[in-house]
Amino acid sequence: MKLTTVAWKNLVSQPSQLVLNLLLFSLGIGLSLFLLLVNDQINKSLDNNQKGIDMVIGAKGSDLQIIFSSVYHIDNPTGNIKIDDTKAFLKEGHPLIKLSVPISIGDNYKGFRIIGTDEAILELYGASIATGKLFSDTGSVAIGHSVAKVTGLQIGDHFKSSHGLTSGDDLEHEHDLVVVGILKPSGTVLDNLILTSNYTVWDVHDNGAHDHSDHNHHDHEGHDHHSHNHTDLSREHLLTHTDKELTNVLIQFHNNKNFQALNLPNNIKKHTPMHAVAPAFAMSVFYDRMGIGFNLISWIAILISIISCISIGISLYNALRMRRYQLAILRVQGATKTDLLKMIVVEGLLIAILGFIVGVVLAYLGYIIAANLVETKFLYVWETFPMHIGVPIFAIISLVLGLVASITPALQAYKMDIHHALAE
Amino acid sequence: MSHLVALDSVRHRYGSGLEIGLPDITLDSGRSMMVLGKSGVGKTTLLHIISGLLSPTNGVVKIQDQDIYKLNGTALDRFRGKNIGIIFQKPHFFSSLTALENLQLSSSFQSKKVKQAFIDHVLNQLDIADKATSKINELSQGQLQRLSIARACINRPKLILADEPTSALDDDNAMAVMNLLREMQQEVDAGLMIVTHDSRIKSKVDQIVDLSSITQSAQG
Repeated sequence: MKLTTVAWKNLVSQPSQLVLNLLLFSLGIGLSLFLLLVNDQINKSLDNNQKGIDMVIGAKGSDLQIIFSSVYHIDNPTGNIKIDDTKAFLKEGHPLIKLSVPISIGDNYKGFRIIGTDEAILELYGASIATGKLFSDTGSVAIGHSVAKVTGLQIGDHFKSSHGLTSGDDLEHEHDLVVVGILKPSGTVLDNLILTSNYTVWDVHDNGAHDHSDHNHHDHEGHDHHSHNHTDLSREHLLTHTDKELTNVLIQFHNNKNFQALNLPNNIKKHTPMHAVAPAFAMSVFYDRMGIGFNLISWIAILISIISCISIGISLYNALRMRRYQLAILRVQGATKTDLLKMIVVEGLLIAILGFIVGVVLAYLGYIIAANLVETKFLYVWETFPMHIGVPIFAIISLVLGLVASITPALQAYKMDIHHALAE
Repeated sequence: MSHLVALDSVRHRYGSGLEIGLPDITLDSGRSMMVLGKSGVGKTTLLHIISGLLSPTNGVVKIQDQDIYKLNGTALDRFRGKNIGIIFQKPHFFSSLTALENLQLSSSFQSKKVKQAFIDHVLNQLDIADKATSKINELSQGQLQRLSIARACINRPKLILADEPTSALDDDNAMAVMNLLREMQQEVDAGLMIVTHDSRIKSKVDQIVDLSSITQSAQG
């Protein structure tokens, strides 16, 4: 019979104590690992979508609202901005700007946002078309990978958008939209968006469920007033619609560390009716705020782990006191001091290993629930079963905690005077 | 001629300062000895000294010609496990294990593993084979005592030491336990030393040592 077997049988002979120790230990490990997994996915989602966007221009409002609405597409926009005001940033030749993308946040289809934009958005996110093509005229759309997967829309399918940005709104627009392209998965927010031209968004709102009293007809090439069909989707043509509005302009600088580029958001805020924000700066403020909550929970998890370590130590110590005579008899039968030390340490390690396994299971269960919630609420798809470096690290931490918890009672057993123990 | 057990000029001083001088005892293989004495006279001290659990202040303790207190800690533990089987007055076992598992545990510290067939044989001899898979708390006191004898003999020790094995028993049971002890002693061909104040079993042993003449002196 191996000492590990004896240690295990000793543990299971006190099921209530074992369950309590396992519960505490797994809670500490599980909570810590859950936080790591969630934090990692949030960071990945935020970083992927923010990558390449150095500045966002929008209507006056809060920094974070602009970022969350135009970069992550999980909030409502702060309002609209006139094309006339954005011309300087949208037309080619601005010395600081490498790439600019106009955004008109429109409606939704089954919760997936419909975004008016132009082809520059693919370059900004490093995305490309998997099948079909990008929207080519009013009413045509290219859908993200997740949109196609969830809604089942295929090329050539027609659908009507719903008013508003979430699927809860019942009002459906009368305009038919047709799918002409499906994007390759990019791991960015584009996977969850329906892309179309700005004209589609304007058209739907001007002639659909909205009052279109503000719609002005212009005579220019590429604009069929009768059918409201635009075929010229060039940037130059877009900028001729000076009376129209966009929601945001996404900007990528040639050099985002350039002093003038860094000052540009402030200059825009001071000298134009628009608001501008650097996502990297705004998100670092956000991380700091969010970090307080994460840190608090992390400290609670660490505290639980320490308490569980103490609890294991106390229960092993109490068990040692009760088994003192039995352990002395083991020595009589030929067990060495080291054998007894090993047996107690193995008991501590067994609790730690079991607690670690249960903790990992709990962490991943929690993660799956959180991922489903995020997907339902924000349409962000997290990795199904992310392998995290935290798992092997927590395995080592668990073993160390098990060792620390058992070392004092193990040393007591090691130093036990058999003659006195038997005489008691 | 070499003896199985030989004590020479052994003295032990307690923490209280009291020192006792133990008689020079010799026991040969296959023989049985009763060490008789009243409570507190030093019987258990003698048993612990012979089994290597309590280092004497002076003197030499040899088992199979080995001066056991010249062995280091681990070697002494292993020597004890291999050569000495001890039956304590109160039987204590791991309550989380079955009767059989407690016996297997006793044999697990030896380099030469005990065969299961021998364990089964011993359990049969002691009439507790049907309790092999029972938990310790399911065994009666009598069964626990027989299991203690089984445990002391399971590694085929050269020497079996028993501490008051019959004191709490009535005459019939005391004789039954003694018979079992003698049977097992012969089975494994060991020497048997019983420390007790129970004079009823005098007729069951080959030698008797009376500790009533033990020398005691207060030191320091």
